[in-house]
Amino acid sequence: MSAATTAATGTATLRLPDVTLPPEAEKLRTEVREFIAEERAKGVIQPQSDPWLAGLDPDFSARLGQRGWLGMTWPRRYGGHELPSLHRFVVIEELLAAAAPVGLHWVTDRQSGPALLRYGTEEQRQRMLPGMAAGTTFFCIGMSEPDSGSDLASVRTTGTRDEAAGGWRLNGTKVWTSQAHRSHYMIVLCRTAPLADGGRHDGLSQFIVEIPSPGLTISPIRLLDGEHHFNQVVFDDVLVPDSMVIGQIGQGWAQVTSELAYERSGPERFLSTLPLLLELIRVADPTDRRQACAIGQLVAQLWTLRRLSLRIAGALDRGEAPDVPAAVVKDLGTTLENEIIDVTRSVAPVEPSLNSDDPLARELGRAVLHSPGFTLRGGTNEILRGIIARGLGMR
Amino acid sequence: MNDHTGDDERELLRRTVAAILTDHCPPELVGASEGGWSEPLWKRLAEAGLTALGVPESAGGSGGALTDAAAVVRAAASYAAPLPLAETLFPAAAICVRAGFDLPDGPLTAAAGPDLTYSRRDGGVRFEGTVARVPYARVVDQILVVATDGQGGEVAALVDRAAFTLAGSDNLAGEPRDRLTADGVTPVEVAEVAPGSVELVREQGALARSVQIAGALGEVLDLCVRYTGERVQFGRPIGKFQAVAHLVARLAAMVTSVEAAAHAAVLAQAAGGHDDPAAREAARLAVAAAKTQASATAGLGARIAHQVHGTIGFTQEYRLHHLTRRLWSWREEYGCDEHWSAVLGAHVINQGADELWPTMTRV
Repeated sequence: MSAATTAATGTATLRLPDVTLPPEAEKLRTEVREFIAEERAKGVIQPQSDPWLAGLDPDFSARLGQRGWLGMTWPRRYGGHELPSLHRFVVIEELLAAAAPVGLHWVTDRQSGPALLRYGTEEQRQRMLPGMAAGTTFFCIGMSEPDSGSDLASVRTTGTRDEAAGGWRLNGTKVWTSQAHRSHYMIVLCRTAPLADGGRHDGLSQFIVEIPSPGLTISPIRLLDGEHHFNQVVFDDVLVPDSMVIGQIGQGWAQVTSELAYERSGPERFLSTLPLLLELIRVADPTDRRQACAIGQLVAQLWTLRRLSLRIAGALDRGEAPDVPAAVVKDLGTTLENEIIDVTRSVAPVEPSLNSDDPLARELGRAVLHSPGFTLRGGTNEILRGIIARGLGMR
Repeated sequence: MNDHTGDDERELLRRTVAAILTDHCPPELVGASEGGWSEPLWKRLAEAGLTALGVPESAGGSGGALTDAAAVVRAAASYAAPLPLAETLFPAAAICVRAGFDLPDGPLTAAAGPDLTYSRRDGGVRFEGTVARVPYARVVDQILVVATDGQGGEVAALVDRAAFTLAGSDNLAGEPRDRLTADGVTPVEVAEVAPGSVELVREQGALARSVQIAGALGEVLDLCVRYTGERVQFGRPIGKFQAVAHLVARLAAMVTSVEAAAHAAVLAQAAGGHDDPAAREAARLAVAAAKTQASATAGLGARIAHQVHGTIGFTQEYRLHHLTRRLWSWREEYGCDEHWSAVLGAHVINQGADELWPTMTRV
């Protein structure tokens, strides 16, 4: 057969070298576990599914900042710690596995900070990054709109030049903006040149909008369980000074897509329902073969996904942008998050309830009500499969 | 930190194997070797020093790491090479090293199971009993046998194939899987081995099959990508249809996950091959996870590949079947996903929920 001749096809884009964590990173893991044990003892961490969306605690975020566990890979002059991505990987996987309340700073640390480092001005970096690394400044992301979901390039929020004011006027509506009401800044993608003038990926730009700002209205969009994380954000002639433009006007698409490998490959893409799996393990009987098989099969997938996610962290450390493998992790990982629900139902039948005194019933309830989001947020699995197919050279 | 150098070396090995197999392992040879093997092909790989990799030179091997052996096995699987290479480099080599035997020249297979026992008599050792489905037993010169005495003792021995009675049967791909019967066989060279060696054969076999499944699935994916780019229906390559593209994308995700799981298990075995009980246990769990993942995925991958290929893939006219018939066989051999997920799951439940994460990050 001819495997040798196929090395040049798109399947090579899937292969990333394996990664072994350095001893310093494992030492760091011990420190994080000690910290988590202390926080648990204080009652700060109460494991529940989907902590990076729904676990919110400003004091906890600040304590992570004090420990040096935010902005870990950023330069020291901006409050960072100049550590490899693999160190950050260890910290975030430990926090997520413990279901720690990381929701307030999650997006800031994962992608807003790196975006500023890559495209921000020196002034923006000096002004904002130290607070982000301290866990006291929070960002949110303004991408989706009422008529723009998977088709992000179709955004209709406009940025119009206002020479007299020395900036840009933003008009339009963003939706599903997580934690906008708890953030200090929002990075907004909008159209600064009409669609007709070029390709559909041209004419998009990114701005940093201060919250609050005159003309900016934030209102809640409640999730299925009644929690308030999402918002609608309306821009009515909001003035953004030139100093708050990110990167170059017109280059917004390239800038946004460069965030995606960060956004799609992390452990938050397969650990959202770990608290449910842990409750299932607590009630399981090791001599019940059906339960053992079901749990073993889930653990095998979790273990595999962790290895894959680690490979991507290694690639990021080398300065690569492994967006196809990242799409694979997110597709498989979010599918597993749902499968944990299905398997729990099949081997440990329990009626889900958010206010039951049975932890398994509570976690199942939470996981079920949060589950539709797993395969939507950060790119639907259908979009991801399109990206994988394109990476393979099929489209 | 990043295992980059090792990766480059493995890529070089893969290319070396691929270059040989591209020339000397065409689909016709694979088909003609069913029910047997290809001795000339084995000799070519042996001359290139590829059939004793991962075994220390002091034990008669050609040195190198277990990851090197895995790279060779994986590449051979992607060509459906009709050879007991996985059996030689994983279960047989592992038991040879454990028993202190020099790895003999030529292909090997390992036979072990609960129904094969030994007894001591007149200062010697006698084997009795049967082992079902011993890979390639009918073509190797020597068989590495591991047996128990029913009281916790285990021995390993290298025995001439001719000393056993073999009843031939094949797997779905025509690879020999013979029933071996020992009726008072007395070996020349015997060594006591640590308890758990019978199980080690299964574990090493499962590891080898995981690596092979990764290799075969990788080639299946390549075939699917190529075929969907060439096959035109409704005026365009079928890969342009979203429904087809998504099938192949799912297959790609499966391939990626099985490859990662198998590779991680090889690394864990390399780290836990010796005496440290904690590392040994971690290695065993890694194999359990990898074989669970590989076996559970093999059939799904084969199904997608056949759906994408249409009727041509369902015939012997096209080489897909050499790979898919192996996938359908390998997923059951040395323990199916049900077996290994039960091993992993029971361990996890026994350890307790709070130990799950520490265990996962150790392996």
